[in-house]
Amino acid sequence: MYPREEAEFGPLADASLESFAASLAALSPHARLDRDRLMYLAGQASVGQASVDQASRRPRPWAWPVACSAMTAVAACLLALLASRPEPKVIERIVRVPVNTSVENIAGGQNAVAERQAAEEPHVARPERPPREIRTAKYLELRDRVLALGLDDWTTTNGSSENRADSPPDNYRELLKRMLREG
Amino acid sequence: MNNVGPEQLGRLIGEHGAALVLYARQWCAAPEDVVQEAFIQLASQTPPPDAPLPWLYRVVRNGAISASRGERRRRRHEAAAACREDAWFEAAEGDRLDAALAARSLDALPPEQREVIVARLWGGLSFQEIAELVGTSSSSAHRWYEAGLTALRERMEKNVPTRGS
Repeated sequence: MYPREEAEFGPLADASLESFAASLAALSPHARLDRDRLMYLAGQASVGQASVDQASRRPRPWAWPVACSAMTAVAACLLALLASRPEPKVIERIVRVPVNTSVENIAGGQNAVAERQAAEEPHVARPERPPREIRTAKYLELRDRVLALGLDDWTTTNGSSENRADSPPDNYRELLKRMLREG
Repeated sequence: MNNVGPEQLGRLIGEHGAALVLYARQWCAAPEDVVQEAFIQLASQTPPPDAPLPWLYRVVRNGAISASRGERRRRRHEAAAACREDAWFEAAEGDRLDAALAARSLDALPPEQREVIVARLWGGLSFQEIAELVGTSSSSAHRWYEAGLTALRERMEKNVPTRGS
């Protein structure tokens, strides 16, 4: 009995049963096996199986030519298709896009654009400009002076701030000079 | 080559061939053919099974049951008669038991008990291997073995007493 089974099952409960089993096991089974023929057939089967295994592992010599032929045929077909391909047709189409051109939409769109721009622009403190009428008057006065006195006189007159009594002093030194001059 | 070597194959045939034939005889009329096919199948196994003996018993069992179904389809009565006519054991002078009576008594046992006894006594399989072969637990296999031996002894004692001392 196997050691593990001996520990698990132990001997048979009846000792005489063990003896009977031993006597029974002593009987030789009858068999008409032809050992030599069986060995021959088994060897043949193992060799056949080995040859099958070797054949499955052997590289196939026809694989590459077949693959090459197939790829050549595919390339030839693609070339024929490319050569016989018709020129692509240019199709002109007029696409009409519906546009709403009513006055309200345009005005509304402009207002919306202006509001959006105002919202997007950062608030920057801009110097206030004088009104347009004042700027125009100054320009006309300047033009008349240049025409009357010449460009040089205008430059000296305009360039020195000392001659301009009505203009405010630029700094305290100028203010001090004016006060000393006026006495 | 990774097949079973010829030495191992020859040893398996010599030591277990007859027991395998006895095992297959429980189901079919041509057990030698089934056993021969099993050995040929073993020789062509790549890689060979880890435990060749339980593997052989399993293949023989499947082959014998399959052959018995075919035989039933072909010639039900002739196969049964052929099974009974073949001697299960070789009679020898030194045997303490009558071989023919042992065969008859063994044949009369329930199939599961007979199978376990044959696999255990002549096949030398462990109860675990028998359990895997039959599809039961090892304790059930052990129980069948003990019950079968008891029934077999009673049957043989009832018919003819054992020979020798």
